[in-house]
Amino acid sequence: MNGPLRPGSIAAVGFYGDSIRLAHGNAGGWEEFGPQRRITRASQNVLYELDGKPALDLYKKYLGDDAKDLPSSGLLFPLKICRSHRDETAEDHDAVRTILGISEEEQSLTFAGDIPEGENAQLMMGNLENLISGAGDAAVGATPGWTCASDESVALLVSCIGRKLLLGQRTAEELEAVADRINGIPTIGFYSYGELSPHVASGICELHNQTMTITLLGEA
Amino acid sequence: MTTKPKPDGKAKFHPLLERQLRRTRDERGDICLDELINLVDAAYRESDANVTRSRHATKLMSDEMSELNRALEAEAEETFRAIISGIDEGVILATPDLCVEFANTAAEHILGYQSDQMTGKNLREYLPSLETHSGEQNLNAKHNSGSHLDLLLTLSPVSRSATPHVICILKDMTERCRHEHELEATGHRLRAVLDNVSHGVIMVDEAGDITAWNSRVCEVLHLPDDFIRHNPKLEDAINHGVAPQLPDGPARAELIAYWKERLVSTEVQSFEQHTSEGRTLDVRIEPLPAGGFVASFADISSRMEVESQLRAAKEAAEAASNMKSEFLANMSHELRTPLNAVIGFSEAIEQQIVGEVPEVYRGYAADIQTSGHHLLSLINDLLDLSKIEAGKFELDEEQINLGNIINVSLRLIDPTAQAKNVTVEKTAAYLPPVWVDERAMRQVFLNVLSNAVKFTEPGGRVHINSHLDESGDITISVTDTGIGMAAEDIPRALQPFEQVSSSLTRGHAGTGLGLPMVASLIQLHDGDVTVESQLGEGTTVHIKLPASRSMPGYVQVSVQADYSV
Repeated sequence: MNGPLRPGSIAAVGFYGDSIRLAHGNAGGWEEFGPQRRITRASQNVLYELDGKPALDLYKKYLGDDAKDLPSSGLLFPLKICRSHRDETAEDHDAVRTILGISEEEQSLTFAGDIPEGENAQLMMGNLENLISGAGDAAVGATPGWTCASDESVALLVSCIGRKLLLGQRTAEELEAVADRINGIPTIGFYSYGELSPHVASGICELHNQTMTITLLGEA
Repeated sequence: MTTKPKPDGKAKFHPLLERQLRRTRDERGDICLDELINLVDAAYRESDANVTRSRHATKLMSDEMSELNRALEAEAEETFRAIISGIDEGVILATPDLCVEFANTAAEHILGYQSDQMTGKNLREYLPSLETHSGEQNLNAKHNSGSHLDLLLTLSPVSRSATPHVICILKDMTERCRHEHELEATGHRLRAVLDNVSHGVIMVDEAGDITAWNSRVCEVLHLPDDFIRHNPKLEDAINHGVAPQLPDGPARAELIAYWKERLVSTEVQSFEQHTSEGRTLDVRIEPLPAGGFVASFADISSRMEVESQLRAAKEAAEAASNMKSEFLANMSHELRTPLNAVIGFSEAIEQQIVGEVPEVYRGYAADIQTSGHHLLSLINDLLDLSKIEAGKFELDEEQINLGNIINVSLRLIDPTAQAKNVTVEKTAAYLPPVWVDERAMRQVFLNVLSNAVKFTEPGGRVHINSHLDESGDITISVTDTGIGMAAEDIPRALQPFEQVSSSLTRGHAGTGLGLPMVASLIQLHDGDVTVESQLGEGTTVHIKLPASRSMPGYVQVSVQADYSV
């Protein structure tokens, strides 16, 4: 503590007390389309094949003219991972993965998170307006039942660096969309390379990409 | 410019517009129109780009889906053909108007045409009597080679690739139909055989149910014609067929238990079953490999009756015969006693022991004596034969040399033969010692030889020959060149009191007891007498003594030695 920043270290902050209140919300505003495809070849965060065909070809086809701008144009087409965990429903484990880079040689795509071989994946698509309203959805997910007074609460907003790149000049709008829905609670936050958050419904924590993640802290 | 709030003060603009308005408002709350127009323009452009992207994605997606669909259809078609090609039943795929599209290997085989040949043709070309209703139909057709086919066919409509089809499933029943006809014919033949045998037959399974029967069984068991049809149980058939009058009780239970035991027995059994009506049934039970049995019944009551009558008659006849023999044996003693006086006193007279008698009377006395001796020998023979027949002749067995007995017999017969000018010859093998009654044997040879001399004309020959075969049996044969006899008379010659053809034997004194006596004595020794003869040519008598009469240890030597005595 109180030392300089060092690589390979994690700072953790713990809150405790009878009066502490916490809430969270997480959303991206992406929409899946097309069929679910099986991840037939992948290794860690590198995807090679979907349904036995090169994944890069599929991406290029869907990007069309934008394909020449890969990987940056891939930001608009993240991949949804649909995990099937025993008796839990697939939605409990859904996560979004954003493209970090491509390899023409290996016909592969590298993502900002693990790509589990054997699970299903689905293409996603987004537009700026949806991303902005998606940030608002994260706030809606966090606030129900929040009884702490606004001046005794704080909202920690963690948004994805990819969203910032996409939104550009309109980056501030997603913060406005959140602010519109949290009743004047003061906000702090930063842009990240991946967000950790439980699903609102199931409480199962996953690594997410391309989302607005909100944590409300308050004192009752 | 100042924006007017919305009329109700609550409703807001589109969130994007709200944000754009907020962004273009200056510190006094006025909206900078140029800026707003720029923002809205940018928003429209972005929206267009989104729409373009979406359209692009949607088109790609629909292409992808179509391609997938086609691939799936092709795969389904391939799988479908692979499946129907491989199955054993004939399958023909056709359009609803019966135009053939595809036939699998089994269908090609059944009809004798290749799938390619049939494709495009109407199915009725191959199956002329085909009916278009769905469900099973039996029909006749012709194989490509012209041979007759019995087919079982199912026509079912199917929807494949969105176009309706019919699937025709063929089963070749030709062989089976032929087998069924054969089986039916065999069944009819068997039934005919079964119904025409004299025995009643039932087939019973392990559980005691009668599974097959012939019509005769109801007659034999005195059951109504359709009794078994209505009561196909072994127990019922036995209760009503065997023991209709028997009261229910231990006896009936035992009878049923006995029959039920037969169900699990694995051996063929024959027994007589008495019915409560007093009849006797001959029952034969053959177990079946799968359990249960086939039983046949025959009513032998009448046969049993005849048999018992015959037995009684036979016993009566035997008793009478024994009585006769015993009577004769006793009488012979009585007959012999007075002869002692006849022979003795006639001899005394002839030899003038008590004084001289006239020559004529001496001649008479000699005749009386000769006749007395003849009568005595007759009575002696009769006595012996009676004893044998009455079973009272006991052999006095000892070890003797048969050759000696033959020689003694030959010496005794020699004077008679010489007087008659009959030549007697002997060729004999070495014979082992035998275990016999000496007196009986001497009588045997004497009888046979004297018979031979007696029935041979002067100048004829009598030959005695002995032989020992490898098994140790001894055969002594006496051959003469006498009058002989016809083949049909030979058995009678061996019967007591039967002398053959009186015209031929008239000139030959004899009792007719000689040969039967020989046969009886040899039979007492477990031997056998056979006669070969031809009328006018002569007779051979074979006397056979079994190997068991030879002394052990000598036979082998004797057989190998083979030299004459």
